[in-house]
Amino acid sequence: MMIRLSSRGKIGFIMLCILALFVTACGSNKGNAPSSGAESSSGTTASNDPASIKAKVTFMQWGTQEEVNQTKELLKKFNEKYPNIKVEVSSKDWETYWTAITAQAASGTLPDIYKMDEAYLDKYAKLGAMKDLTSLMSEHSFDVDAFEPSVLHKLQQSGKQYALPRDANTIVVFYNKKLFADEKTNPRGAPVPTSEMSWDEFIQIAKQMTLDKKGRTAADSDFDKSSTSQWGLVMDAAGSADSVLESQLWSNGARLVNDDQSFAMNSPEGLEVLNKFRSFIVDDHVVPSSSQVKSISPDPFLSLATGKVAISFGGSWNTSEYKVANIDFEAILPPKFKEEKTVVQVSGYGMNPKTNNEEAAWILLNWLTGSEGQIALAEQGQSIPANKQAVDTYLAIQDGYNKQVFIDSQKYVIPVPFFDGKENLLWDIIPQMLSNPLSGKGDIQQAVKDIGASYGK
Amino acid sequence: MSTAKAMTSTYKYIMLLLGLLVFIGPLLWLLSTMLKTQDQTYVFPPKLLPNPLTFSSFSRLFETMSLMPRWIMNSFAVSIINGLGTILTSSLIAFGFARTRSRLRSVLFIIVLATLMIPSQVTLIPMYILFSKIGWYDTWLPLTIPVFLANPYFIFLFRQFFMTLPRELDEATYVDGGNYWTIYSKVILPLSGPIIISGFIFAFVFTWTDYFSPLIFIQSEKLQMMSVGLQLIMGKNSQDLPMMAAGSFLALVPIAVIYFTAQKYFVDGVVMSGIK
Repeated sequence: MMIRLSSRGKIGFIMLCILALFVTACGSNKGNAPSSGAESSSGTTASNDPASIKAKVTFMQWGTQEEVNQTKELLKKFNEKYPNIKVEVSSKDWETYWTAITAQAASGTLPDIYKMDEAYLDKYAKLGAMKDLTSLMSEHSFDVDAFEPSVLHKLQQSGKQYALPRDANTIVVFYNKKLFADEKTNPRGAPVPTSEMSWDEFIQIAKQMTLDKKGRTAADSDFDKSSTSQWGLVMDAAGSADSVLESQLWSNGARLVNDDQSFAMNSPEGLEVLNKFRSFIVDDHVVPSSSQVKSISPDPFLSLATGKVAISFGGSWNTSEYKVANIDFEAILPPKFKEEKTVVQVSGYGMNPKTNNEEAAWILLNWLTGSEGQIALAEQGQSIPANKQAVDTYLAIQDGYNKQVFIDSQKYVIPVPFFDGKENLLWDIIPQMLSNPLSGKGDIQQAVKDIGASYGK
Repeated sequence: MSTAKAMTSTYKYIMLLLGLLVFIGPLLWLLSTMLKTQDQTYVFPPKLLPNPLTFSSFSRLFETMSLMPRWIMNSFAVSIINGLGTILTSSLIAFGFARTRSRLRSVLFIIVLATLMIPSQVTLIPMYILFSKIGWYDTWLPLTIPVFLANPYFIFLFRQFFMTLPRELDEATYVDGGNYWTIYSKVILPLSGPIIISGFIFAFVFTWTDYFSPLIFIQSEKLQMMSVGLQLIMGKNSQDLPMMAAGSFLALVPIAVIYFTAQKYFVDGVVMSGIK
């Protein structure tokens, strides 16, 4: 089938359409688009009063539209104090945020202030994409005592502060209160777990909460492991190497990597942890294997939301999802081998080293991480503020579970800064090479050797 | 014999049905998720039929993402610009490769095709720096101009189609006093309805689904495209699957409408260009 487009008029019409659309598009750009970073950041100071500074500051973060909306709400409060500093917010998703930062750093179009995760700080500080804030902090008497030293330390590189902390998310353990309270789902009347239990005590509870389709528990001799209908504990140690495995290695006196960045998981204490975790899956049948976890929930931390899991490791950020799923839950500190150890994941804000408007950028950074901005952040109830002055505000919002656990967990933080290359070990090498051996498929010692070889340090 | 034919036919239909199930499965899952409440998406084992059935994901989508209508319009505008640009420039260049008699024609064509083999990620940083330096960053120009100035894939597609048109038509035009432009505009283009429509659809869909370019080259919220906007539903640590499914469904509708409307020409164009 063919269409006749032979008339000159038709071709002319098409060309006219293209031209019209193009002119409209380009025209609208100029009307709506802010100019690029370099042009946007010109500030003027009428006097020494920071409130009188007139400027436009570009700001970038990763996250959902909802998180962008929350940031905009926060910035409204900032503008109440600094009405002449216009902050232009843009956002990317987590995965591509870092591609964008790399490209913008290379072309000199970084936003004035941008969100930074502890996992990438080392890399971008070395690339020269982040301003060393140390001198600005002392010049403006920034209150460093308002932060836990371990939290500040996570955003440092070679002793220099490259970002200031925004929030400190923690990884704890959550349990489903309803499953423990119901005789059908807790036929043996297992007690609820508590903070800082030993792994042996903890796994005994998990055993009693693991049920097969006939309602027998994993503590019963006739338990059918092939028809598990309720899991006692969900923990993907290999897939959650940064948030679960590393702190548990520390808990047993082992390390994932030494201070000189060399691989250290192959110690007897390290292997003991891995063998113990493997026995929970292979011998006790209370923890699902890596592939089973994925079938329950693509994100292991969200498995509690299915209502078929009694206890699970989870991040402080998961609580909103548990609520949406109508789960009645409680938070406790994770179990321990020898000592209690926890993970806190810190994110902060960094500054473009080539910003044209350092003064206004600093005012924004200082406000966001200072008591006013952090209290405003705490009032939103979504993030755990890194600034201690905002903790009371955060805790005052009643959410139906013990939020104090998130704050307490900061006392047991493992002091392990990220460095360039460690993210590959935590997010790629260990999940790929340890998942099967931990699930009973393959030799753990060999897997650890292979992980060390792939890591290469 | 007729039994054997019936068997073959039955076998064909069974295979087609299986193929259909494979392709329709994700779509059904998308529709199901879109109509669920958020808590239903956490249920294990997952259920296909939503209960209760709700359209709240759509209202949530437009409430949370107030700029979504604008992003949809932006995607439409850029996709149409690129679709029309492709027809105009790629067909003209393809005409040169298909109909002119230059010695360098084959070499140039190989060079054009070779550019197809360079992954876009490799040229990302240089392109980004270039566009920033010439002031195109955070405008639609990086999304439209490179496509508007012809794309090797479409040059290839158009050339293959033009090769199937008899050369006698060109010769007849010459005899009547025509030149290359007359052949292109009055002979070749009027006979190229199917490939023009296919080219437009391809270019439209490529632009509509392009995530990488707007992500990198557009900074301002108001100029952003729908593909990037959709990604803002899924966070690092949070998920609203019904909202994501609703957004994906909206992104799917224009492609489905265009494809089904122009299906006949589309298949003709692809078959005749020899790409299939």
